Amino acid sequence: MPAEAQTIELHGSLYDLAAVRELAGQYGGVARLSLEEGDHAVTVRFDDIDTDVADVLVDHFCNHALVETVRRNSQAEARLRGELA
Amino acid sequence: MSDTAANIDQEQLVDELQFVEDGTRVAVLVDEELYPRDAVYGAAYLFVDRAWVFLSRNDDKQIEVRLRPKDASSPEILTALAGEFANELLNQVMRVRISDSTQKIREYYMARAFFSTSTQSSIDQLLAELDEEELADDDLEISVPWSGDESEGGTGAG
Amino acid sequence: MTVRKGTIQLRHPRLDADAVGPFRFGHLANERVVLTHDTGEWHVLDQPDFERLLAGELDAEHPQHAALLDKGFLRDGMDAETIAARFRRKKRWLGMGPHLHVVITTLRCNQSCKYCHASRTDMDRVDTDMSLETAKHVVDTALQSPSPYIAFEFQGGEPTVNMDVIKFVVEYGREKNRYEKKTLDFSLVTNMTYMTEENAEWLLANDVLLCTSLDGPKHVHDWNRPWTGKSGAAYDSVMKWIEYFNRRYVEMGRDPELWHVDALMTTTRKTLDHWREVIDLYVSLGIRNVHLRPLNPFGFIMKTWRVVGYDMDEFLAFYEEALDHIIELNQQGVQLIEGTAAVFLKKILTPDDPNFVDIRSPIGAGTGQVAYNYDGTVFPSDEGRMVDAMGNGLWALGKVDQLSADDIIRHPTVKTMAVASLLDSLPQCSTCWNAPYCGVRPLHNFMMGGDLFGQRPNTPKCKQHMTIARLLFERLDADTDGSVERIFRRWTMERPRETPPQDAGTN
Repeated sequence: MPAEAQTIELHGSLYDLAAVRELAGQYGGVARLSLEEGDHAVTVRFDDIDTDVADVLVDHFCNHALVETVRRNSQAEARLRGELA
Repeated sequence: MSDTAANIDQEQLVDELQFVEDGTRVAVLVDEELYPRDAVYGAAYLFVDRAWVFLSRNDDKQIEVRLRPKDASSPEILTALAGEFANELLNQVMRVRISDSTQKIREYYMARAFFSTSTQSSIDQLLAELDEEELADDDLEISVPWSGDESEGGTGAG
Repeated sequence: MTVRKGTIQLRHPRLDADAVGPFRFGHLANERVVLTHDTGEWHVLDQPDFERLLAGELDAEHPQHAALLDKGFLRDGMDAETIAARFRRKKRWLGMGPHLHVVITTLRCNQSCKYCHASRTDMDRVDTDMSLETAKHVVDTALQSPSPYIAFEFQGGEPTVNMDVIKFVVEYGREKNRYEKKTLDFSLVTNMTYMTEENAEWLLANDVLLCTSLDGPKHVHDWNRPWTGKSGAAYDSVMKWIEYFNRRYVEMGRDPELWHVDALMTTTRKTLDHWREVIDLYVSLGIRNVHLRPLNPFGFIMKTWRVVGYDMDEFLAFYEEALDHIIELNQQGVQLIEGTAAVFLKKILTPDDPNFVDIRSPIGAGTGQVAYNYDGTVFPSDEGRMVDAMGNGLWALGKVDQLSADDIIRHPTVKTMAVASLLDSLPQCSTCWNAPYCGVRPLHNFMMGGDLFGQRPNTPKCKQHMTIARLLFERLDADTDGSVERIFRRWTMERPRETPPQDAGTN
């Protein structure tokens, strides 16, 4: 039986929401993710979570979203500096 | 981006960073006017190997950085973790400020290194010398201008 | 649940943003701070002097002032033209194109090593030999590279199993180079178990550089590399041929410092337990370079990882002990270089860069090296070929008879690898003090986490490179009498080999 649903709200000024949307598609193997976008944040809902990963899935997703946000931010800055085409 | 950081009052050299821990995780409260977001990102990123990291916003100016150790946790471990994060945040602020304030110099020497006029002129000089040599070798004076098409014969394929 | 609040006092160092040059910084042991520059220049300060520098209070009378100004760490009086020239020299390999061309002459191999990274087939699989026609395309493509220096490296399988292709590449390569006029090197990475006297003499006469696998004393080498042939176990065969080649070089009048069999060691758990014996063996054989490399925790080795593997912390503890032992040996007059340290030291102590394809920004995959599989499939690196053999076809660029060197350099996969390894654009790397000396490997990242960019704190390579650079800086910083720096500088020197005799290798 899948674990109970969980939700997390990611603020749009701190997380790259395009990255969050893309990442959500990568987690289909362990849960069903749906996104609800508000004015300043996106709420990610995790349903049908695989019980093997239920205790860390949301945390793992948040780390992943942070890493991807920071990477895109770094690359955007490098583009501004002309170091990346 | 770092305007606010650059404007830190140079006389106000000590800041107090607040944290809250509940035995399993610690939340460090960061004033974005003192610590630019790039510095917060830089510091938070460094902890993803040993902690679950989550950022949230309490108000327009304050970011809450929540850290939950992946391994064992205790009030002492969480306090130490908050301290490490704070130190790294300080390092990141300095890195951001040095980077921002020296960006133009860096752009200048990088441009000079690869696109400088002196390099250009020496290449032009070299090309002119090569042209002269080619003309000297060309007994029939049939000089073929470079066409820009290297697809045949130029590189010795085959 | 008890909730507790606390505060942390943070003392912000004063920063006079107009006083400093562009640099990165990091902390070493004993509260020392290392500053590094894009040009590779570096300087170590104690914390109070570092804070003086930041505050713009390190004046012209300060004993470190002149050095800091010359290296570009101070703004007032900075010579930006000199810095630009240094940076240009440091990065002069940019745009040169691939110089390292790895040729997989065959997948056939007579050994089945516990850690084998290369895909291998049994000795009856002649269908995994490279054809002469493919070899000709390889030479043609390699010589199209704009690089003035081209190194062909024969690998396998066991490359000598297909000696005809080795001979062809050397002879055709030299013939063709009469017109291209590049500097050519040929090197052979062999386990020596398939060597014959006839082939050995041909390799000697044609100046093919030799590198063998030697994992340590007999009980370590034979444990790693199970094989029993006509001449006994694998170790006996390696010993026999190292002695043979080194003796023949002397008989040919070659300088043994430049002409000798080099050896590559693969570090398994067994090595960690016997590392002193391994180094002693290398010294006793007159080998001058030991390259302490960790295993890559992916590929075929995953089947045996539980037996041969270890984590990066274990490797780095071993590395530090072994590095100090090698430094001690050098202080006693032994000439032995640690290979990874030498790569970093060339970046740290000289105005040049060794253009080591795996440790540079951007990585040399496709722009510094190219690998050609036995069937003519081109990969941006030999690791790409290995991953391909595991069933991941993302890294194949195409067939050698259909690609020009320009097609390879401009291939979308190669461009992607470059973007994913440009340190200035990567989180943590862009501000890391080790950035002028370091390099990341997107393919490693992909294999370990399914993502080309990786997560730096979770990347063992980051820990490895950062630790090795830190160890070197700490030893340089603590070197009060200059003896360690003298040794390290010797490790950075490369003497050119003498021109081969006219009757050899130019037929």
